This record gives sequence, structure tokens and C-alpha cells, in this order.
Amino acid sequence: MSAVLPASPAASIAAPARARREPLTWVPLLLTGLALAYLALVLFLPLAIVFIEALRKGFSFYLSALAEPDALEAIKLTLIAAAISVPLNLVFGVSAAWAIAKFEFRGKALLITLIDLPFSVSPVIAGLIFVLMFGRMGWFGPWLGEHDLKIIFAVPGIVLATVFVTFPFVARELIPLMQAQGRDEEEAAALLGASGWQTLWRVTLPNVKWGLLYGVILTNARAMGEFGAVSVVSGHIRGETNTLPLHIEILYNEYNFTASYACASVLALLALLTLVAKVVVEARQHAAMNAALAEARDLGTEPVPARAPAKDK
Amino acid sequence: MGIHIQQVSKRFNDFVALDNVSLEVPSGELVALLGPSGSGKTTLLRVIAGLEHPDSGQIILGGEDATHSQVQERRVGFVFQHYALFRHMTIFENVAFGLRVRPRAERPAESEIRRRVRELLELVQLDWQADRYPHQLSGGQRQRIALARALAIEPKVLLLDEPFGALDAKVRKELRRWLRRLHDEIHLTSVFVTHDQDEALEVADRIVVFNHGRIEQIGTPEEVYEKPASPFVIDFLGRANRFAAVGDGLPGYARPHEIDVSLDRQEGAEPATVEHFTVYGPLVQLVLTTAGGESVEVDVFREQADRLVLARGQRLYYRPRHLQVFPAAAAQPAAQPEYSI
Repeated sequence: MSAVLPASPAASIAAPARARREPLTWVPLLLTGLALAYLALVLFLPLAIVFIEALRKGFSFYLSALAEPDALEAIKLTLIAAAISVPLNLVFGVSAAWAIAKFEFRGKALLITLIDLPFSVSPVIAGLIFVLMFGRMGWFGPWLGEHDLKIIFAVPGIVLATVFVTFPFVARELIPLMQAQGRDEEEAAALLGASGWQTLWRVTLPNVKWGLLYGVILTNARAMGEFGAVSVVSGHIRGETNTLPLHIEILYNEYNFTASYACASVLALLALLTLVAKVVVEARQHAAMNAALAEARDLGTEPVPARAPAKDK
Repeated sequence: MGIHIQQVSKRFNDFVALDNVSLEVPSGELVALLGPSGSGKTTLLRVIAGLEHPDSGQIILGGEDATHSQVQERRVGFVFQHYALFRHMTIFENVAFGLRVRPRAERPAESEIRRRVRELLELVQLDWQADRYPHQLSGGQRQRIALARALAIEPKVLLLDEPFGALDAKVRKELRRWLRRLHDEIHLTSVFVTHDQDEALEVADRIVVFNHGRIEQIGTPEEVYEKPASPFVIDFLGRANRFAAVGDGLPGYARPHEIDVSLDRQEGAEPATVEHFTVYGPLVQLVLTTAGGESVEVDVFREQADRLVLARGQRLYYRPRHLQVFPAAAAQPAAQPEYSI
């Protein structure tokens, strides 16, 4: 890439021609090669190793490693944590984004900062917060003990920690999109007689559906992959409070490498699926965002060239 | 149905958007709220619609006190400057929206909804666009759809917030004439906000001139143009020259076409030099500089301009045929308006 911007259209036309004549082609080749080698080393190779190691002792061992009761329990717990935290954060994210994007109120800046908190706090600290609150020595510890309620070293703690680390994703996706779209459509809906619910279901949510889906995908990926915060509150009780990432660590520490890799391959597969879904949804979400921004910018004074109607209708 | 606004005030923090505004819009009239930005006209429109709540005062729609009623209950048609069409719905569904969200008991049958939407799309001459999406339409078409959507709920009144503000000059002119014809057909009490004086003069039955949250004048287009009530109105509606201290120490105002110019000195005429001139079809706009160094704008017909043999720096005499002087109360130095003509 040339570091100097062409000064005039003429220069910009001349530049590629010169680049073609001069023997400079090795520079982009070298850079591309470096980038690919780096990717291979830190991304493709580890990913390949996960699957190779997982299948080292054959496919039947692979399956039996996954069908082992503790592994199944870990998968189940991971799914439970995701199944609770995704809908919770979906509702929270939509309400927070709705409030921030469509209304003016005191403490708005504070709310935006608070939403980002899980991004800035180390997951270990996030886990510790819950131990300090609900642990036996924690603030609510004695009260919980009296009522025979267990949060730390139990499923509720794992769910709480997962909810905490994943709550920014949906809100963060929706806030800029909703802000760009403005309040006009909601006002128009209300003027046409739509109730708050009708406006939410018929106008607001359909307008942000791709951003919402994108946020959900990210939330889900993080919820299933979270290690730090969950590790602190879990207590590592086999078959009870181990999520998949924790189970993988235990297997690895016990030198049960192949089983550990087998479980890791499940998470890796999930990551690949997430990646594909993300690419598809991201394209849609960017289109929606750009449309909203373009509309806000030029206010539609120019006739927009006809485009194929969206197929999602 | 008429609109009665009684002593409405509205503040946003320290900013007074509406200062004790009272206004009556008779049934079936098309009224323009005209003023510079920040003068309160849009706030008043939003207060009538129920999108803003007044700090004090009353809004009466069709004889009923609507001051505390919800937006949904008011049955006002509202057209936004930027259309606010539902971007994920087809044109048809946009127009049908107001019918579809009705409670089940009041909701028309599907066939009736289809018939009504078709009718409205024909009214705005866009029935062939029913299956397209808003982003596929031009600005002017979108605004006509927004109007059809507003009319679908059979509103008591129609409110339009700078409806042509986002359109280019040519479409804007066509659309405002079309709106006037439409209003003559359906006779729906309508209020539209504009900062464009030509738009207000051409379309409205009556014009309400706003400045700093207050009404400066209410009148027919002729009245506000010919008999402006204050220096602000004469300045805002069309161009005007201000002549310092003509009798009683008050300034006098004259429109550019109300000033005579001649080569030789007439009685009461003052000398000036031609700063520059521009030919606009049959009219020539002159800018003169007086002996005191002030600028005076004068419009003359082409034939007269030919007789004057205009040239830059040429010496002329000017005399206002008619000077408008406002009583001291109205002639308070109007705060410098934040627009330019």
C-alpha cells in the first residue's frame, strides 16, 4: 500500500500503472505471506490440533468421551447457563437500548458506562463479586444459609456470573442502531393509534432485528465459552457445577488429553458456527445501519435507486 | 373540526418554546405556522398532536378538551418532515397500519382495509407503488405516502411538520400546489409548519407568524404581507428597507417595490449611488448606497431600468412612496433574527 495519497485524479490513475511496471510486487506478496503465516500459526494450527487430538484415539473414543456422564452434565449445564442468560440479556438489552436511544433522562451517561462495566472488569473479579455477595462469608451469606439457599458453588451462581459477563452485547449492538433510526417512526405509530406494545412489536423490533440477532449470537458465544467468572463461582464439582470450559480444564489437568480435546472440539465447532452466523447477520446489520445513517444524512431528497425488496418480509 | 389553543406555554429547561400562545383554527381551514427555527412553531404542532405536553394552557380539539388525552386517543393525522415511514413495511402496509392496530372490535375486515388503502393510494396517485418499500420511492412520493397513511385513520385534524422541507425546490413547489388542491377537495382542518414564506403565502388560508415563542401576527396572506403588525413580520415576510428615524424618532419601513428612483432630484428624494444591480426577468433589483452609507434595495421594472441607463457607481435619487411606521410598543428592537434572506 502506498503511504502517500494521490494528489489529483490524474495521479491516482497514473499510480497503479507505475506500480505495475516497477518490480515492487514482492512487497504485497511478502506482507500477505506474513499475515497468512501468522494466521496459520495462531489460528488454523491450534484449531486443527484441537480436532486432530480429539480424534487421535479414533471416532468411537471421541464419541464415548462426549457421552461420558460428567461431560454430558457439563454440556447440559453450559446449555442451561446460555438458555437463561441469553433471554434475560435479550430483554435487558432491548429495554436498556430503547431507554437510552429513545428517551432523555437523568443518569443516562451513567447507565451507558455501567453497561460497559463487564467489558472493563476482569472476569475473575466479576466472579469474586458474586462470591463476596452470596458466598458463605459474603453479605447475604448468613441469610441464604438460614433459608438453605445455595448460590455460590451451585447452578444459580454460574448463571449469575454468565449473565453478568454477557449483558453488554445486545445493548451495545442496539444502542447505535436505534439512535441512528431516531424516534420518528415510534411517534408516527403512536399517532396512528398504536399502543406501546404494538409499537414495540410492529415497529421498533422489526427495525432492529438484525442487530438484535447479532447481539444474541455474541451473547450466546460468550455465555457458552466463559471461563474466568464461572470458574470462581463454580467450585468445580464434577457432574454438578462444571460447565464445558471448566470440564475441559479438569480433563486436561488429569492428563486425559484426548477426552479434553474432544470436549474442546465441541466448543470449537460452536465457535465456527457462531462465526458463520455472525458473518451472515453482520452483513444484514451493517446494511440496516448504513440505511439508517444515510437516511439521517441526506434525508432522502434524492430518489433512491430501486433495490430488490428485502426477502425477509 | 376546529382547534382551540388557549394560553399554552412550554419550556425546555431554560428555553421558552411557547409563551402564552392562544390560537383558533376554524374548521376546514388550512393554516400555516410561519417563523424562523426555534420560534416555537413545531413545538406548538407537537403539543396539538400530543407528542409534547404543555406546562400550562389548554388544547381543545373539535370542542373536546384534549389537553390530557394520550397521543393515541387524539385521532390527529401527522406528517413528519422526514416522512417517518415504517422502513420494513411495504407502502400498502404503511398505509394500512393505522387500521390494523385498532382494537379487534373496531378493526375493519381485511377486505375493507384493502379497499380503503387502495382508495387512499389512488388519492395520492401512487396506487401502482403498493408493493414497494419506502426506500424505493423518491422523497416526494414518500411524503405523499406519509399523507395517505395519516389520512387512513380519518383524522379530526391534519398536522404537517415542514412537510416539504426535505424536498428539492421543484418537487416542493409541485407538492405544495397539490396539497392545496387536495385540501380544497377534502376540507380537513389542517395546520402546517414552515419557515418558507413563499410556501405559507401560496398555500395557506391564514398565516400565523411566530417569533420567540410568541405569535406576532395572525392574518390572511394578503394581510400579513400588506399590513404587517411588527417590524419582525415585515422583515420576515418578503424584503424590507429600514429607514432610521422618520418622524417621532421611529424607524420607517418600505418594501423594495415601494421606492421610486429617478435621475433628477424630485421633491423629498435623497441621493444615492448604485452599488450593483441584478436582472430577474421583468424585474431589476437595485442595491443603492445612501449618503449615510446604508444599503437600500429597490425593485424596478425592466423598462424603467432601461430609461435609467444603469451603471455601477451611477448617481440616482430615491424616494419611498410609502413608509410603514410601527407604534413604539411594536417597534421594540426585535432581537436579531438568526436567518438571512
